[in-house]
Amino acid sequence: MIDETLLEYIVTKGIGLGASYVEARYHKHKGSYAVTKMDKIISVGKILSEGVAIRVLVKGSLGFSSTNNISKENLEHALERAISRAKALSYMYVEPMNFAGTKTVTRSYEVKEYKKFEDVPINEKIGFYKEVFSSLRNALSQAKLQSLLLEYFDDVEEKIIVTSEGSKVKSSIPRILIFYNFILHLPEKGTIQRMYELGASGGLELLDKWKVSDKIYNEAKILEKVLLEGRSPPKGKVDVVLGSEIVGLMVHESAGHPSEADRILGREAAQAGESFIKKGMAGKRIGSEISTVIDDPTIPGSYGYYLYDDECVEARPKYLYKNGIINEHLHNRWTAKIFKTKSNGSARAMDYTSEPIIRMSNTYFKPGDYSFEELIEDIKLGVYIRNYMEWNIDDTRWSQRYVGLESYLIENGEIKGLVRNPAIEITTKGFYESVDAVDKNLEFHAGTCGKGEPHQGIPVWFGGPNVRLRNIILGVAPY
Amino acid sequence: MKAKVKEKDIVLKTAERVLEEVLKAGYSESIVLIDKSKSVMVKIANNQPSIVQSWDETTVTMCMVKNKRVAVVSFETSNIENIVKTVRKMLPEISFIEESEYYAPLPKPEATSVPFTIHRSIIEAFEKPEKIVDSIVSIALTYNVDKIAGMFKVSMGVHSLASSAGVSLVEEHGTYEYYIRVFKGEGSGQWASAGRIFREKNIAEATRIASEYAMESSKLETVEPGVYDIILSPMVVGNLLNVIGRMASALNVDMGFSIFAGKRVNEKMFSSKLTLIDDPVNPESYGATSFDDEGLPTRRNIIIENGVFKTLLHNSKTAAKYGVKSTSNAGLIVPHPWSLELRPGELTLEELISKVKNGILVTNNWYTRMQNYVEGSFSTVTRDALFLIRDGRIVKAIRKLRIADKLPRIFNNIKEVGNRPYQIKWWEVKTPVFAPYILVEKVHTTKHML
Repeated sequence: MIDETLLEYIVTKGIGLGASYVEARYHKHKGSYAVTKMDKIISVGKILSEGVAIRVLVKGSLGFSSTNNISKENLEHALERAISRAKALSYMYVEPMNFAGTKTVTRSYEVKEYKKFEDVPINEKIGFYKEVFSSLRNALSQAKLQSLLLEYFDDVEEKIIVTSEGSKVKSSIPRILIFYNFILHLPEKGTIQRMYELGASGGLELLDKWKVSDKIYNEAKILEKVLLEGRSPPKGKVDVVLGSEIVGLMVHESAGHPSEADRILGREAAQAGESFIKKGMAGKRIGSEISTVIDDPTIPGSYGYYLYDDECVEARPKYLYKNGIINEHLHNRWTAKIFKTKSNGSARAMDYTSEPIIRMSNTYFKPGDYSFEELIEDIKLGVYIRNYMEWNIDDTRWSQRYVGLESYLIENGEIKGLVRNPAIEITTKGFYESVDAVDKNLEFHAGTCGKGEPHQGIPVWFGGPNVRLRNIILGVAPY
Repeated sequence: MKAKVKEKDIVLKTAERVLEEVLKAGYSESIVLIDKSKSVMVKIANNQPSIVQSWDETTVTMCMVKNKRVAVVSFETSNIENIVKTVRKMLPEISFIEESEYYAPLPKPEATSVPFTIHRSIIEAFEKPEKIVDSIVSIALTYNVDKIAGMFKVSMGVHSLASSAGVSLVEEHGTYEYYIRVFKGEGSGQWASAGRIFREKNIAEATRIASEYAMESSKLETVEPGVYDIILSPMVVGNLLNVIGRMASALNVDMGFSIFAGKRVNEKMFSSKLTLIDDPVNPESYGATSFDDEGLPTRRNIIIENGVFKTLLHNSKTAAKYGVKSTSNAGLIVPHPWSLELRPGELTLEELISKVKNGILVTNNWYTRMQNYVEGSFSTVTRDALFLIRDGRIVKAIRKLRIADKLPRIFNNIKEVGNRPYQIKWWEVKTPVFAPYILVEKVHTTKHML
């Protein structure tokens, strides 16, 4: 831990050196991990990252400096570096930067670990890997298990953020992530591969809830059937039901990312690209009445959980698309100033080496009131795509592709057999306009979202219910 | 000069001291890697800086072994005492786990290569990134483009290694990285440059290429997706070779992330035009290093020669399991490439274009994702300038398509390889790649249907 008064000293000193704004963030990650392959442990380990990030605004120029030597003398050097480098570039700003006003806050919050990471040795934390391996093997009747990789990570993220405007926010958030990858092989049918992540905030009690072995057993059983029995998807226009896992990813990619106001303003143009949403497009229609997408960092237990962002702005749910209308973008204090609004608390930094930038948290398609059976009952010919492997989207977040893994044929309102590698390739508007019904089964899935330069991976949830799309032409992967 | 020598000395001595503590704590074997570095990066967006970032970091990574049980720890902190305390506390935990099937005794010291130093041009660039960025923006705006975005970064540091097998090594590293994206009308162009030696002419060339592609693609037309002969630019080749390079890691083969699974050395896999090399001893490379993470001297490894699979990339752990010698690609756990290179051919870009009857020149791509790593089925989205080629000539700039195919097919269908390699490293090319333009026959493309 750091002496908080040191952070206060740095922000005060920064103002004295000519900065109009200074923010100092102590940021620590402490965790452990294990990697297993089949029924063997490959390696275990620990991770500790601890340092201070300083951000300054000088004559409209933004500077950032980061160090993991947190002595007073070194932090002073880091501050001076941030200020002098920013000053040296200020003459190049045609449009100097400024931040929208925000409330001054002093807050402290934490997520509880009911079963603490520190109290349990790594062999016990990962103790379920042999059970996962044997249940996966038991699930298979004909296919061979070619590969199984299981990774476990726990992490406690602690932050103290102090701003020159008088805000101070302290937080502590523990999280667990489990990643698995398995491949089934049948000589005459080829291979099928599944990758998935389970993640949430909380302690080791989450492992009891997740029942990883049961989940993998069920998935392997179905995917073996896909290998054995999967047919090509039907040709021509059909109705498509997309499962929560794909819907979640779709809203992350085609509602969350294009709603990032820094992307809309071109700040990420050379990296993750721009947005089809332009300044002034709020209020325009993008989809059907039932298309509502929400980003909400405040969901208890979520993987993307926080209550205050890394600019000390209070977090809240944001309705990105509301009843088919582009509604609210994700803002930090800089974009809020340009859009003449207030920040909605979307600035997040991965660690002490990272500047806070606009990020999603937990993004989801708002569920409706249909049951799954009602969703498919009037479909004469269609496909239900439950999950995926391959996906991508263009750099304006308009044209996207998802390739189904566990996918079913629907005939006359009933699930009939399995379909292999259906590919849905659709524009953002095409997707949201085609949604005509949504069921009530809201599920969330964990992911690590990438953005920024240097690249920052941050924990998010994405989710949704099952949704129905009318009149879609499916492709088949790879071509 | 004296100060520099002192810093190298301090970093190496710290590594040796930490190693001593680790062994004193009861571990039977250990490798300690310490890296101390400083970096500066200026990001550009909308023709002006968007932020200048500076880093001053120490990272300590260690492999610790006790009775063939393996742990790898990673610390980003300058607090050495804290590191030693954590490592001591971890010993009882390790004894509860089982032996690693990838355990192998640490390699003994071998005759080392000459360590790399920081090139003077990098030290100078570190001192004046503002001037370089100013010149980048000025050059790009002479092309009458709408706007530019990009990044320029310079890093310098010291890297040291001490192992219980008796290896003690230290080396300096210094690199630059640059990429720029230029926008004009409906079009855009992007290019990159990176390396161990900073030359203003390389920055100017990357800026020129990106600007020209933006200008030439300012008006776009739509073409139907289908099967085309495609020329992939070094940016795209770099992205796809990163995928293949990672797949060549022996551990990734074992983990189910590779098209090399089940392949035998000397098996013909790809077009005879494809020779893929990992070369960390290239003094121009951003990835240049004289020793790997186990202290073995690095070397040039041919992964694919004239389409024939020659070797996976190994550290001593995977090498022991495969019954071969390490290729000096450690990674404490996962072997990885350092600096990839596709052997150039003889044709200029114009000559490549002249060989295409009905095809497309793809200048950049992003978001490459696999449906199946073993079979290599994937898709990637084109971005920036894309040109339709008919009867050996570029006829128009066209709108985005997606390449959806299988990696083994793509690399088997290489028909010609360009003569000029470019060093590429950027957001979508993490491992530096020296790549020319290549011509690939019969590539499948797709597009959204609604």
